[in-house]
Amino acid sequence: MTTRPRRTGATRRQLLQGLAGAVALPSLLAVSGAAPADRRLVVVHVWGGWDPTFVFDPKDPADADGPYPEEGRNKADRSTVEVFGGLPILSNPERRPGVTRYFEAYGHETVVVNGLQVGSVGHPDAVRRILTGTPTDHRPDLTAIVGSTDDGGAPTGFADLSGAGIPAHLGAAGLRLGAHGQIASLLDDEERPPAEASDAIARYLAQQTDRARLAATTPADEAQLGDRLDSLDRAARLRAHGLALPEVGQSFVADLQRATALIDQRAARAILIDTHLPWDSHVAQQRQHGNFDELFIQLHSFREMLNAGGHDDVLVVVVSEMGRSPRRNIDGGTEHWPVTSAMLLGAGVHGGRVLGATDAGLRARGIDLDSGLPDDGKEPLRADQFCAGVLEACGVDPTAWLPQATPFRAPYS
Amino acid sequence: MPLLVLALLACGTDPPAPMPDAPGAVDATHLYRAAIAMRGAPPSAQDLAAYRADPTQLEPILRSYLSDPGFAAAVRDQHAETLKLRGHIVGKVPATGPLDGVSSAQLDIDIDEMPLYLASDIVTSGRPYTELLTTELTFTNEATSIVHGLSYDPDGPTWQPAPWTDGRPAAGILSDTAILQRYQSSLSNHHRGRAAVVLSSVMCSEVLESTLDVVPPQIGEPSQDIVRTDPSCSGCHAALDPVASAFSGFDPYILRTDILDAYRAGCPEGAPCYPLDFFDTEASGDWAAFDMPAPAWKGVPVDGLAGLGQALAADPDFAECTARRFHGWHTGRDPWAVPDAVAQELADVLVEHSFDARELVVASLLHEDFATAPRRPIRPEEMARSVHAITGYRWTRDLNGAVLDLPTSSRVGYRTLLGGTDGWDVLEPARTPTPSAVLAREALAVRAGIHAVKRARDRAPAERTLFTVAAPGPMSDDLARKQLVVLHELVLAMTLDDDDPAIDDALELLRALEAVDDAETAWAWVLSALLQHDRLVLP
Repeated sequence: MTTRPRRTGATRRQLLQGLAGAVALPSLLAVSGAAPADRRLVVVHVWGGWDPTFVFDPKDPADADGPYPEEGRNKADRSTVEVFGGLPILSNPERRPGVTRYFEAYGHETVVVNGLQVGSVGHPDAVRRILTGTPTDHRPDLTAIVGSTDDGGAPTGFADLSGAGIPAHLGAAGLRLGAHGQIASLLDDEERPPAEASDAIARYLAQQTDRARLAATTPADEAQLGDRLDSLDRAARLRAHGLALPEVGQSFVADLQRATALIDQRAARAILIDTHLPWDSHVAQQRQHGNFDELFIQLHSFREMLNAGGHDDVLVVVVSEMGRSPRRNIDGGTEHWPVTSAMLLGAGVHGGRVLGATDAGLRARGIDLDSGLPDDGKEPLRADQFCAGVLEACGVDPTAWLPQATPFRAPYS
Repeated sequence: MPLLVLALLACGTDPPAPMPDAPGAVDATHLYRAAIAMRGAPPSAQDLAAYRADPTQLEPILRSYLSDPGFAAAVRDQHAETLKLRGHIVGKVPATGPLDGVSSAQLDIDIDEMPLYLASDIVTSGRPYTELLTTELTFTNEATSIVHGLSYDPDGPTWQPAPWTDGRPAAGILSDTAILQRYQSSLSNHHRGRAAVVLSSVMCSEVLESTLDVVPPQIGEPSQDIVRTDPSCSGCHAALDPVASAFSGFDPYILRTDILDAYRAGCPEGAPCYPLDFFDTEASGDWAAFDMPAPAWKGVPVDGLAGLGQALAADPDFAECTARRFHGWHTGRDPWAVPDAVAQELADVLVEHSFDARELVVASLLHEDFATAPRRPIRPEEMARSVHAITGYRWTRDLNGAVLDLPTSSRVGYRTLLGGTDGWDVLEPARTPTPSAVLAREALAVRAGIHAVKRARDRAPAERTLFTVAAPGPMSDDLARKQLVVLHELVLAMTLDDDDPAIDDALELLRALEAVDDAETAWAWVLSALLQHDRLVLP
């Protein structure tokens, strides 16, 4: 690996040994976006486990295999640490040009969080931890909490495009769109009775449900019937809203198109999408090159769409439920790793910084939760603290959902 | 308060009052819920009448459902959710070579149904449920028999029992390629994903549910040592790894692309062409070469996967887990949410009846805990089956030669929107009503209502099943009330007088809809409204 400063001069020593400390200086850029309670949230979930050493958390080849084994066939095909708007990022414009272009354009608006300790190496458990902040079943994810706490007038509080959403008991406040966006065909259903008839049926159903709710003999039944009323109400609001969504199949691009439509039409306060890319690279680590390239090409487009639409109230959180082990296995892939990275951009984010850090062995270092600076006298950053910070950044009191977690506020201060 | 309720109040509607069945009528709620849970459809008019005449007929009626095809289908639904099958992944195995001309969409569906038909056959026949883990059989149709090289009688039923022919251990679903392909392994993971499904889904073990944080190892520490010595790893791996070793000899995976490549290359020897070779007897001891522990269950050595299946079947935890899974399915709860005492009581029933799962099903549905369980959203499969039973309507779409049932298809249909799982991305069913389900049910119900009204119009009065009072069309208030009473009985199992407030509401709806379109269409929409009634969709 060589270091090729592009925007900001930095030595390899600075970049690899004092990485976080060297760049975690407060950005002079103004923080954009609405007040927390008015912010919308988009969580981009990278299911499968990305390898942060390919982009966010460069390591010396002596410590971690990273992206290097495939590289080097020609001079241009090499990963180097470059600094984009204050962010040191491992860049290889030949293999991962999308990464380079994204950070050239938006590095100064982006916060990278390294050394995020998820504490699990099993997909379902790790997904639960990174999306909900808890290892426990049946707790709602960030988008469900934010969307149900205050929908901001949107017809649906949250929208799950990924399928991996965990609405738990908040299901009545949100919409599942289907793996291929099937909801679009329901919102535009030619067989549906005319509005006057449809409304009369909806009123009848609400009336009957409310009768049953009043007659309910247990709190559980009363709650279910209350949720049924809420669901009928949301469905009616969605019809009245005239929400139009593209039904274009299952892919990251398709999900982003649907997310864009939801944002443009102010139809949901919180959105969960997935990249649908093959990140779980037990047998083919080289896939991570293409995955990162595609991820950042699409994030770039998404960011441009947000800018073009004037959507400066949208906070985008990009997370993966786990990282990858530093060394490749006998299949040429890597195993699950309980430490990962995250990325934030948009509303409320004070960009151009790397927060947190890992050591040479890709173990999470301690962190000062207020500044985000590595502090080996403190504990590493945990998923619940990260999630609590996101909730707070969206104007939700995290103590109601994650009472034990000190919010990680550094990205927003 | 929801807008719709506010709108009702703003319109001057009095706050609604509780609405019981007609005075003197026997409440059929228990039968109604049990019928939906057991066979995915409401009880017939005859069953309702028999029950109302004598509520002690509940058990005989439920026992009669044991031979209902809907019961077998519901058993398959239950096992699909438990095992996370019926995924929406496209192209599990390609329709190539001897399968040229077969619908690839149908093949994707059929591949996952093999262990599900095994499960439903064991349950509905009354054979010991332990066979799920010990039999040498699977179930196959014509296409899957080609994929796996299984015997198949073209003159027999569509799905037939057949033994595996590649020498794999007799371990029921544990040795079924559908399960093994759903839970693929890698050369370095040594079948641990397969072991995990045994622990969590088959045995309801909580060992993998640890809330302990896993921390990264120190540099240079051999990974197999870490999983045994690091406290954050060893708890799970001590239970997981000996189970994983029992899967030695099975392929970690066979990829669709590998099969296509093999056919392109002319199927050289050893290439993955049909029938797929998924087990290598000589490799069944390979666990030792990877420094994995010997196959064992709870510390007791077992003889490979067959031995593991037998050990699991003999473990009291299996009976209790089975009880939890069936009763949890009936009550719309996760297995762990079934009260311990109820689970144990039902497990005792299962054991006392030599693992005849039919007895477990009946005991579960007659149990007080079922009768008093909270209302739960109807499942997509139950909704589709109920709508078909009531109206004769199926919402289908042809896709590349496969006829897909849209309410239950996650690939192009609405299964996940209706609250179901898709075996891959959506792994937990919705436990609450959702707006997505409201929209999807509306689309299904409207189509079914229109279908039923057209059918009634075309039939002689004596052949009509729903519109028994009069053909759908203009009706006087008296006649319409009588017809609405019949619809409430047949769709919702509610016995009402024709001046009941619920009939008033329905009549008011009918008249409002007649102001929008003709009377026949209005009846179709009224029927669609009853198919979306909380009584049906939140049983």
